[in-house]
Amino acid sequence: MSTFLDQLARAGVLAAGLFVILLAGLLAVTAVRGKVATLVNSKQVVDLHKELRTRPKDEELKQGIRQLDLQLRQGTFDRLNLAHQAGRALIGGLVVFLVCAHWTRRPAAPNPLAWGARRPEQSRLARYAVAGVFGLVAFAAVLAALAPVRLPDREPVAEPPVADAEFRQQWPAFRGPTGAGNAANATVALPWRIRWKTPIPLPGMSSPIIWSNSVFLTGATDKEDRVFRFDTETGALAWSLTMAGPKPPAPKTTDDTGLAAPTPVTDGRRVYAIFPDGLAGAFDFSGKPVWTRNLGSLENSYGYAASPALYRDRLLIQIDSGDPAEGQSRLLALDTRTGRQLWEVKRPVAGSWTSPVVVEWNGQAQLLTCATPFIIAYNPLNGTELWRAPGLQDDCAPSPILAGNVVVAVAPNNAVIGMQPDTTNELWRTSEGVPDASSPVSDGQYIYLLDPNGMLSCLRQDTGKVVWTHAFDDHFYASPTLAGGTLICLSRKGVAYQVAPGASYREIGRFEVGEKCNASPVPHGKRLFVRGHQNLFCIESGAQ
Amino acid sequence: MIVVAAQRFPPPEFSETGHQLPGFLAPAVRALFFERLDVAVLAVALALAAWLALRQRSRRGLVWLGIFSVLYFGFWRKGCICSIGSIQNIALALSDSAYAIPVTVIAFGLLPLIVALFFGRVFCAAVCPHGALQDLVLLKPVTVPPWLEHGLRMLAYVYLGLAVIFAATGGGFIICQYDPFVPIFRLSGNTAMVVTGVVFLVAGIFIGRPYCRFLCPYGVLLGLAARVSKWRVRVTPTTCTQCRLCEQSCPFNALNPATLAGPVRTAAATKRRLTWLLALLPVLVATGVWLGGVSGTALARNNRLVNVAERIQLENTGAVTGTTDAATVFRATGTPPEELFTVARQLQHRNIRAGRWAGLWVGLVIGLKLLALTVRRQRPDYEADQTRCVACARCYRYCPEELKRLGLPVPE
Repeated sequence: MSTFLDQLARAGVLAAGLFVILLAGLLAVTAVRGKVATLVNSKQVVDLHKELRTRPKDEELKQGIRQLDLQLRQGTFDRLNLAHQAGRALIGGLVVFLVCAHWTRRPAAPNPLAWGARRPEQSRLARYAVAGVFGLVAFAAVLAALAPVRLPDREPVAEPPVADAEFRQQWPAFRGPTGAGNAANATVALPWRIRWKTPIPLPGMSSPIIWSNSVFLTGATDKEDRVFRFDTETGALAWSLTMAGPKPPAPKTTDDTGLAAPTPVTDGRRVYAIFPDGLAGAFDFSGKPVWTRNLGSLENSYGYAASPALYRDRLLIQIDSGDPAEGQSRLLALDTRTGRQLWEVKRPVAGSWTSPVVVEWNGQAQLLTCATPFIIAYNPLNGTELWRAPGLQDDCAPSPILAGNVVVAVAPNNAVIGMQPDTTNELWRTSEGVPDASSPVSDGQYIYLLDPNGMLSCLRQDTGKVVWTHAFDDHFYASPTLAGGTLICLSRKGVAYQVAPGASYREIGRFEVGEKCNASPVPHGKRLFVRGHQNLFCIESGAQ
Repeated sequence: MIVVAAQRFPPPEFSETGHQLPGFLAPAVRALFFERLDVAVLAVALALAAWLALRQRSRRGLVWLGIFSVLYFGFWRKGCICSIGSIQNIALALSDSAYAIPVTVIAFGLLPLIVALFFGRVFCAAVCPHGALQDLVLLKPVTVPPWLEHGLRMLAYVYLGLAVIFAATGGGFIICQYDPFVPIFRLSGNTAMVVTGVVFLVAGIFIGRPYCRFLCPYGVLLGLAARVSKWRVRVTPTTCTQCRLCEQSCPFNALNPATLAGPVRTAAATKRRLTWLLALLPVLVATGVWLGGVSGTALARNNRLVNVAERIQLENTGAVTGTTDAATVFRATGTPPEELFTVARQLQHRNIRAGRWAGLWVGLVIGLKLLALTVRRQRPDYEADQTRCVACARCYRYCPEELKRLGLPVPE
């Protein structure tokens, strides 16, 4: 009996051993062939996808790809399932093998006589072995320490603030350094001529900004967000860069707003841009991306349009959306060096299309914002609310300005309001010439308003009384801009009306850019920069 | 406190196609009852192992208990949580007050250690599924030279040091990541670990319990606890006659023979060597601390945040081309890299400090081991090594006194 069981066990060892080896081989094959990576990287699928790019509407091809994909998936999962079953069988085979092997095992009886005399312990060799392990560990540690990746040592060093005088010499933001659309030092003497024009690679409604010899613009499609740098002298495109990181889906916007309505802003070191898909980022002037943040999709009924503002090392972003009760509106500040969020405050306002403006009043910086129903001023350093005043309604798009000692805010289709910045006293209110897209501009004595249907109104800055009005036979989205002694009103058809500011209306000239325009014109020195639908124009004095 | 996981967002319903969402691939969270049952089974198994190994001196009983442990703690419980891995949970809980360690894990970590304080490594004998599995596959044991055994066993101390610092610094649970037997218990795992498990099992046919002896970090702790155990494995139930029959009975090199008569070296030479090694001890410790410090930055790489921070820095500086999934996902969050770098730098510094502690540990145990190998102890009898013996009970039947006790014939 015992002999029979022994023979059976020996046979079991052989059979189970063979079974285990074969099954292990099968498992090894399925482990390689059943990998999901082989499904994803299948040459057939990759080739067919390439072919689909050339024939994107070929339904038969698409069906073929789907069929192949299904077959490959089924094959992969069949193999995985087979591997799982084989694994179970392997365990079963191992159990049989072990039981049989242990049964047949006959350890030899101990025989000290055959072992010979005992030898002393080999302590020396053991010490060498232990020391060898220490050596191995030391070697591994040194090897691991080689070629370390050095992360930047510390937080970026503080940068000296950009000199205020230098900032004011440039046109660094939407509507200029003070956000008021007034370039007192600029003079574009008549007549005008186009010095150069350069095609803009991507569409957008954002206005140009200028720093020294660079013009920056943004453009976007639903596939990419880009920032462009042009040379002011030649119009050459210095660089055209896509925002770093994966592009989020573009939100729905109207054609009049598009996907690149916010104007970028610069502090002379970096240029900062924001797009409606939520990407905000910074590039240095050489075109190197400095940081990128995804702020989440900036949903807005017409499309996000607020341009960011700058104060010291803070990039100030106003994101107004939905109804006040929904609590979606917010204001936030990002560190210009890193993009790190410094503060964020909720805003009790509805969706808006206005841009925040940093002004100085009685030695304190105020960030003015407008959205239904409040004009709210914040401390741009920490987001603390300084004051608020009610009075706004409807879809607010015109940005506020500080004209002398009056904050001028616009409630579209309703009123233009003059406020005292610190007491929230309403100084005046008028319902005449109320714009609904463009922002006001002041020459220090009069305020000029331009409504979309061509009504240009002049108000006294101290009383809000209408001094004169003039109706252009044209339509406007761009905000009126003051360049020295010229008020420039750029129509959607691309006609720049040159008006002499003052107590009476006097047109001093017209200039046809030759292209449709929605962005606000930018005076800088003796030149005017205009974004058309397709081209960026540089206009200067001289005969055509 | 009971913490219950729930879906953060409701999963989609495929009402048109009737598609059923696949279930979780990870082992399901066990109900509290089963967790308590696990602890109870562990306690009973430990008691049974101690009784079988020390009182009954029954090899057969331990084999059956080992089979049960492989089936219950291994295949049924999928090898998790196990006492070996619990070291990491405990280390993390000690270093991070925000980490809530389950009572079950504490029980699995401490019960075998407490038992080892009194009864030696009976947990290894037949309760640990890893040990029991290796014990069952041991068919043709070959003797590892004792000098090599001494060296290889130091790897477990190094592994323990690394596992503790990785867990304590949030770098991951490397014992679990590189557990060679869990993929076998789960019949699933990445190819590398399945192959490693198979290699260990195949090696285990010839080399007794290779993982337990040369790598198991928990075995180090059990061994240290077992040094003070009052009740322990004794080869002979009565008096050792120094018949040498048990000399080669232990496949794990855990049997210390009686010392040979007569001095091997002079006392003066031994004293001189001891002096040198005592002087070497602080040097080894200092070297270990230095090595741990310099390699701390590399150790930090095991942390996912540090890993992705380094990758992004490499990509930003143009040191590498292309990108990785982790870097892409990080960039998609919109978080400025500086924020990640700040956290990563903190983790690197933490790992440098932890690396120094690990280096100190390695230097210290190596130095003490060298001293221990120099000090000559007198052993009148054949004794199971308290630190290394896993109480498998193989040696008992080699002792003629044991055979007499059992009433079995004693071979001539």
